[in-house]
Amino acid sequence: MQVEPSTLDALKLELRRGTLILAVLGTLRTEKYGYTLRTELAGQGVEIDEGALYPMLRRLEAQGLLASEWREEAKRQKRFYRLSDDGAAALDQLAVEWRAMNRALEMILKEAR
Amino acid sequence: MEIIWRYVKRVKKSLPTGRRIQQVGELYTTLKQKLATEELALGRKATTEEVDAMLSAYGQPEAVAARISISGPGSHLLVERYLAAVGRRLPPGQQSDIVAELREAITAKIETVEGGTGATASKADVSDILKSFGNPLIVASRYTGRDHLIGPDLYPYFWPAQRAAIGVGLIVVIAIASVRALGMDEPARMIPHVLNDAFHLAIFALGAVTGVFVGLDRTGAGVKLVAGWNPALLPDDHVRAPKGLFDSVFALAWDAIFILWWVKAVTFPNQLPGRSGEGGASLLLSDAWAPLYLPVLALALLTAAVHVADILHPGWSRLRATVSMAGYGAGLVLLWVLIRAGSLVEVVGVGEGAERLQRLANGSALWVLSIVAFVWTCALCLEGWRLLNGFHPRLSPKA
Repeated sequence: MQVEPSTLDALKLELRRGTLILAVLGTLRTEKYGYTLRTELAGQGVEIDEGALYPMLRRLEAQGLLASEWREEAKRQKRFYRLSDDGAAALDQLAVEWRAMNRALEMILKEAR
Repeated sequence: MEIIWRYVKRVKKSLPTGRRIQQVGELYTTLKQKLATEELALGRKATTEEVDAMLSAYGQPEAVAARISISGPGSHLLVERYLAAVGRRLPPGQQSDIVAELREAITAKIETVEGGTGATASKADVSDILKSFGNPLIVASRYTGRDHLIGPDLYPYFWPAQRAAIGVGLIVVIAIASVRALGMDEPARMIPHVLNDAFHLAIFALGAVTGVFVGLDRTGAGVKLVAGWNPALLPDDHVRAPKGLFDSVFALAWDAIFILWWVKAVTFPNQLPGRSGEGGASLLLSDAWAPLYLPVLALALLTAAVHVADILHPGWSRLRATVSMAGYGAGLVLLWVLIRAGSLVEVVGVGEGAERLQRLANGSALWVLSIVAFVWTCALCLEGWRLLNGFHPRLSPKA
């Protein structure tokens, strides 16, 4: 049976939603501003819309996981983000969770083949 | 605006002729939009110095002229319009910061496009870039952190409550119209009034229930209420399948309206229009009801309490069935007293048709009470039979 493309898109979106935060936190171990962050994520194969990325950065900052500051670079004011201490601790815990889940899923998917 | 206009005139001098008038107009609009966005962030009118600073940051007039003479018409206007549309919907206090960051991100993307093509981004390019950022309404809503009206925890209760409110309201509207139609030559004339009242009531109920749920969601009270359930309180001795949430809410709303009416906290129209040539009349309960005031109130309160329990603890337990039977029994005693009294309603203030209306109204009321008595007797017998037989609903599919 052919899965409807809209159903598949919705499932992919669900699957990606939580992992994007992990990808953003992981990438911000070194300081970046929004545009370079998105470019680097895209380079790693993680696409994210700007309209979702920037609000997410604000949310993570409000949760204390990121710190940010405005600085001039290439004659333009840019907002640079980096992982805070709390963010680094959260990233470690999320990474452990992710790896455990990934191992379990790999096993399940291997059995399904 | 005078400062902006002087700036635009200086830019105009450096622009080549051709589309100059159009470009000057677009530049003026762009700068006005930009100023509006900044004033929105400031929460006040910008001072002359602040407008000067904004124009200096925008560029020297000659450089701006060079820029817009080769760029697609209206491209910068699009960016400013986009930022203004997002900014208007952002939380106060964060507008300028968020708009500045978005402007920087959009500019970086425009520059990337320009770097790739070696030409200034066209209006179509800028439009595509803005589309990739997303609809301003949606982008702004992501910053506010609220993208729903009623959360998923409360939503399952929302439609049953909505249906109950509208359903009870419609019954009240139809009941009032039926009473009023009693005294009319052509009862069909009430139909347009009923439709009109029903429509307004449905709109009101829709708004009121939505308002209550939004309030519960915003304050977190609803989520606490929903989270307060306890598996140990789920029924374990079904006499019959639990009442649905809609039925329970509907019944409770009906109880509330009856109790409010009974204690005279709300009143409903009870005037009969009267036939042509006759005066109007009012329909009142007769003296036969007076000794039953407190027993009826007690029974109504008991019924409402049971319906509240149905919502909080849905399950038709033996206790619930017993209380239900006791209620039907007490109700039948009250009905018996009333039917024996004979005169149930009183028609006041009518001319020659008083006797006819009195007979008609009393006859109708006796019929209604007799039907209710019959229904309650059947319900009482059925509950008793279920209780004795210990009916258990099928909870798992057939093997």
